Parts: sequence; structure tokens; C-alpha cells
Amino acid sequence: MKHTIAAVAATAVLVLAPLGVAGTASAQTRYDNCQEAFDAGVSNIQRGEPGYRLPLDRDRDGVACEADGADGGSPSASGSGSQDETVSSSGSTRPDQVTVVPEGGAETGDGSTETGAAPLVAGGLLAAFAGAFVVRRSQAGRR
Amino acid sequence: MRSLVDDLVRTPPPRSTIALAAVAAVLLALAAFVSAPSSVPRCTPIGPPTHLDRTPLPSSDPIGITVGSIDACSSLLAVGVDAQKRIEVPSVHTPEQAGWYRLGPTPGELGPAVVVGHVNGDGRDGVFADLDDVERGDRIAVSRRDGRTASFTVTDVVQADKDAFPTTAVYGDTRDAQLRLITCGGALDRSAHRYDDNVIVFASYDGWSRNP
Repeated sequence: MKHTIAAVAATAVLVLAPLGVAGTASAQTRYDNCQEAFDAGVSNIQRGEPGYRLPLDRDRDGVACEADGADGGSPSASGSGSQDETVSSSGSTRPDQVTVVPEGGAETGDGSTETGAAPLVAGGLLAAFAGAFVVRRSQAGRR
Repeated sequence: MRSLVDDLVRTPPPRSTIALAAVAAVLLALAAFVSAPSSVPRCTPIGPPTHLDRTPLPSSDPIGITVGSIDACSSLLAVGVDAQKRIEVPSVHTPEQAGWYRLGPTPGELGPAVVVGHVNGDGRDGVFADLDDVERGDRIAVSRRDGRTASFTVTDVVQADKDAFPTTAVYGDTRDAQLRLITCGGALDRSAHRYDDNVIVFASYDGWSRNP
């Protein structure tokens, strides 16, 4: 089935090439996802054109299956024969670049170097030395 | 006005002064020793990419990461999620080790690649101890198994409550190759040994060089 669509689209590309890539989607064309469109040689489908569907326009900018990958899929992979690799079974509206989205944040620290007693001790020592030197100086001055 | 040194030299120093001076000298030496690592970089310096091209790279597992501005570098351990679907992190007993989230894109590939690292652990600074000092425009380099080092420029640094983690901004699809660095920050819950917040660095891919 996919091959049929691809073949139809490929023929369309040949016949309608002068009209530009975006115009190659025929009236009957419906792409399940952008990878399918890319594999058929179609990209940058403008709103109002055949083949344009909101689910294929992830960034909602009026251009579906953008060649830069903004709407998902990978145009550069087209023709490599690995089209199923990047096709998301969940449709292209759900994120698919990260296959499993973790829940919540990351537990990246135990607080074991947080400001505690050590800096206070160091500060106290410094203050003590400063005080001692001041005492020395004032004694020296009196001599 | 006589200097402190004059005082010490001209007047026969009492024993207590000598002792004080000795302790002070030891302290100074210690301070110099402790501050030495910050003046001598631990990580190999990173330069701008030789291939300035934002086109995403093919997938290739990352080997190591360097954040130049905070002199942070580490090899990369592949991490996934635990049973609660929370992102795994390298052991808190090896806080110097950073981890790459293997259930997402590889750094340089289309999408948000994620690297996690501890701020501290086991009484030591972690690899991302200074991540909150990173600023927009700072450079991050990730070496990959395919021989390329992907270069990223920091676009944003945010601190977010773990209970309101910006999941979509961090893990959602992107139109180009992106990198996120995550560590802990904010208030520390001392009894739970847990921080309330995450510090997240957002960066954009801007080209690559051959691995050094």
C-alpha cells in the first residue's frame, strides 16, 4: 500500500515537477505522517493544499512536513529504504525524538558538600588570627 | 607607619608570635593548594567547531562531554529510566561521572539530547557542581563514537522545581539538534538528602570538529 502511494507520488513528481515540490501532492493524497510524505518526495505542504493536515504541522505554522524536520520525520532519510525506522506509530503529534519521556526531574546530588560546619570553622580560625595580629600590633606600638 | 613585617623583624618575636606565624604559613600553603585546581584547567580546552553547519548529524553514541566555562568534563555513561519512569543518574558515589539519556537522541542528532550529572555526592563536588554558573553563549563539546565532536552553544539556563519540571521544554521534539544538561539546585532538604530544584542548561548544536 505504502509502495503504491509512493509510486503514485513519484509519478506525480515527474508529471508535475514544474509546479514545484509542494504542488505535487495530488487531491487524493493523505499522508499518515511526515516520514511517509518525505518518502514520497513531498515536503513543505502549505495549509489549503492537498495533503495538508494539522497533525502533520506540529509547530502549527501553516506548513506541514517542513523539510527542516520541524514537523517530525527526517527528510534526509528518504530513499534510504529505512522509512519505518522513524515512523511513529502514535502519529506525528506526540513527541517521538525522545522515545521514553521520563517523569519529573533528576536526582542529581545528595547535598553532601553543602555549606555546613567546615566553612564556619575556617572563618572562625581566620577571625582568630586577624584578632591575634591586631593585638600584636597594638602591643608593638606601645613599646 | 611601620608595617607588620617590620614589627616581626625588629622586635624579638615572642614564642606565641612564631607559633602564630607558622600556623598562618601552613594555612596559606593549604589555601594555595586548595585553590590551585581552579587556575590549572582539568579539562582539555574546546574551540569553535571546524565545520560550522547546524544540519543535524546521524546518530552516534556520545563518549565524553566538556563544558569549557566551568571546566567540567566527564566520560558519558548511558542511562535510562527506573521502574517509576524517572530518569536514571550515575551512582551518587561517583559524582564526577556524567550520564547520557539513551532513550533520546544522541548529541548532534535531531532532537533534545539529555545529559545528567551530580552537583555533589559522597562529600565531593560533582561534575556539574558549577552548572549554575554557566551563561548564555558558553560552549559545550560532546565527543562521539563516529569521530566527531559535536559543538553546542548555551541558549538558556533555568532553575525549576522538580515538582514542576518543564518536561516538554526539556524532552519535547525540537526542530534542530539540541542538548540539555541537568543537575540539582535550589534548597536542600537535609533529612532527605535531596534538592528541591533542577538546574537545566539548554544548548543548540552549531557544528562539529574531529575528535581530538
